[in-house]
Amino acid sequence: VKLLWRGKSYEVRVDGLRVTVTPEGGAPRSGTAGSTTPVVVRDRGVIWVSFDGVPARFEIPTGGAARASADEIRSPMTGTLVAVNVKHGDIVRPGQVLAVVAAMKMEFRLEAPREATVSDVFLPAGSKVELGALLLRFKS
Amino acid sequence: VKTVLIANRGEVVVRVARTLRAMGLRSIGIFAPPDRGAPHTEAVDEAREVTSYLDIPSILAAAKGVDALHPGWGFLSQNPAFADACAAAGLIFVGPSAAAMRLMGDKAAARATAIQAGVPVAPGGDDLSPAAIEKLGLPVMLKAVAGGGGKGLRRIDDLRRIAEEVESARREAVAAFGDGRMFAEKLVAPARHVEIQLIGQVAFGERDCSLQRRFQKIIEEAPGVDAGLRAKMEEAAIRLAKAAGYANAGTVEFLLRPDGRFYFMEMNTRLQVEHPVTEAVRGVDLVRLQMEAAQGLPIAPPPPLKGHAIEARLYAEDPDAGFLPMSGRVLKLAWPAGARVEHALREGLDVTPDYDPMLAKLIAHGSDREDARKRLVAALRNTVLLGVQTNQSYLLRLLESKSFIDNDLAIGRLPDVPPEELPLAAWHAAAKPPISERNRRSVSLAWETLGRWRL
Repeated sequence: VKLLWRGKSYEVRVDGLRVTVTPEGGAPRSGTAGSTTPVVVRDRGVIWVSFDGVPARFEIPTGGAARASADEIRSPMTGTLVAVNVKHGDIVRPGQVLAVVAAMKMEFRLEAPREATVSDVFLPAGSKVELGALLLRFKS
Repeated sequence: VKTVLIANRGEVVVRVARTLRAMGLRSIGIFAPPDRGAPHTEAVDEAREVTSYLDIPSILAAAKGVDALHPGWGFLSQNPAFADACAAAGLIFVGPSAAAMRLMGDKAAARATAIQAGVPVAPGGDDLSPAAIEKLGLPVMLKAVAGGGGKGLRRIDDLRRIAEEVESARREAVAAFGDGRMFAEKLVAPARHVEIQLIGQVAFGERDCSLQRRFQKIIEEAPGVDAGLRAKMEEAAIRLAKAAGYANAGTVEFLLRPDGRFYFMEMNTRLQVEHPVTEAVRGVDLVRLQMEAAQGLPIAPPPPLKGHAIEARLYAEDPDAGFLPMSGRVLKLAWPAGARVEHALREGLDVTPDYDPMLAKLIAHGSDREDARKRLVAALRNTVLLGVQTNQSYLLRLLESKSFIDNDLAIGRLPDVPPEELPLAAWHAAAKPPISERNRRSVSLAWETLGRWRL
């Protein structure tokens, strides 16, 4: 897994799958009265972070719930599939946004990992999806 | 009095024991089995095991060699049978008489006492017929005579539903208190919750506790009204205290309308969670005054008001999931300078769903309201509590909301707060090692993939 900071968003690469994550909060706070050093604790499958009086809890998924193969696009989280931009038979370019999943004020854009032909679209936009739900498949 | 048993747990014990120590008194704590070794047992000179914080015989058995008993707040603090049992065991109960507790605990009797004492009450009565309710004017609140904690409480907006609502509220009251008596009061809204602190028949000013969610106070402050209104409300509270033959700490709660008219709601016959805001602006120690009052010493009028104080309650709850109580282990704890913090936590402590979800309270004192607000915000920003989900960020958003800054508050109307915004730095921190925004270097994560990012 690779995480790259792209100035305004994170790019996450997992087995060739690329996901762009844009935090809605925007740029980091500065000059506030609070501490500017985040406090981080990891406890088994959870990473806790406290920054500027705002605690956050990040769950690390266990097992292969969200495992991506080069031929499948799965949901990176539990939420709502807000957009599906491709249909059966479409040829997609690397980096093309295939679908968008939203949860907890966050949108995850699911991008094509490589040039491929879409063979199956499993769910329509508006569907509730679980972490790891199969969304799209490419022709292998 | 030389030895005092504190019949409570958690921050209550830590708070009361601090004053007992300052007074040179010996403190005895109690603990139920799940609390063995808990921080509150280390705040006292000696801790003794009891079966539960509600088991009167077990607590009295732990009170061997004790002169006085401080009930704290919550648990048995408003139970007249407990006060009677303490007296029978030869212990000084640090609180009002059992008779005064009974009188104020019966909401219908308390209302009748207030009326007799000339303390304003909202129109109402025990006639629950549709005609009587219609005469009061909707909306009307149905209240259980033995009420408390919102149980047996119903808001009536529709005359056709009265019989149904009365039955439902009565069932709830019978289940909760074993007493199904009900009465009705015209709803006073919009209104603020303003309460007068008493020690015996001496008033220590007011607190505004209008910021509540489901009858649970979140943020409290003092002062809350101007000097003219304070004098009127204090006078009304003292009239009630005199009529009830009241001694020791008590709080008379009023509903205050925007036009300055106020109505008696109820009296709490104990010290309140939010007493530190009064201590801050009056420069007094209310627990010390309670101990002095319990020993028959006279209570002097309070020093003049100084500045403004605001308290925020940190709860183990998830504001993003309907404020459900949360549990967990405290992994990291750091308290700020510049605020009074009352808590009984330590790193490694398990917060269980067995007891109240309040973890701590932070109290800031400033030269005026805005100064106190800024100090409290700064204190919360410098507070670290990880391992249990809390309302910390929600408190910050409340304190930074326009309604709070403008002091435009009313019961049942929480300020609009923006959705939580997770600072980008927190994301960086989670993706450790920390990555710098400038060099954009890629970082390998130990994570299998992105999981559920809870914001």
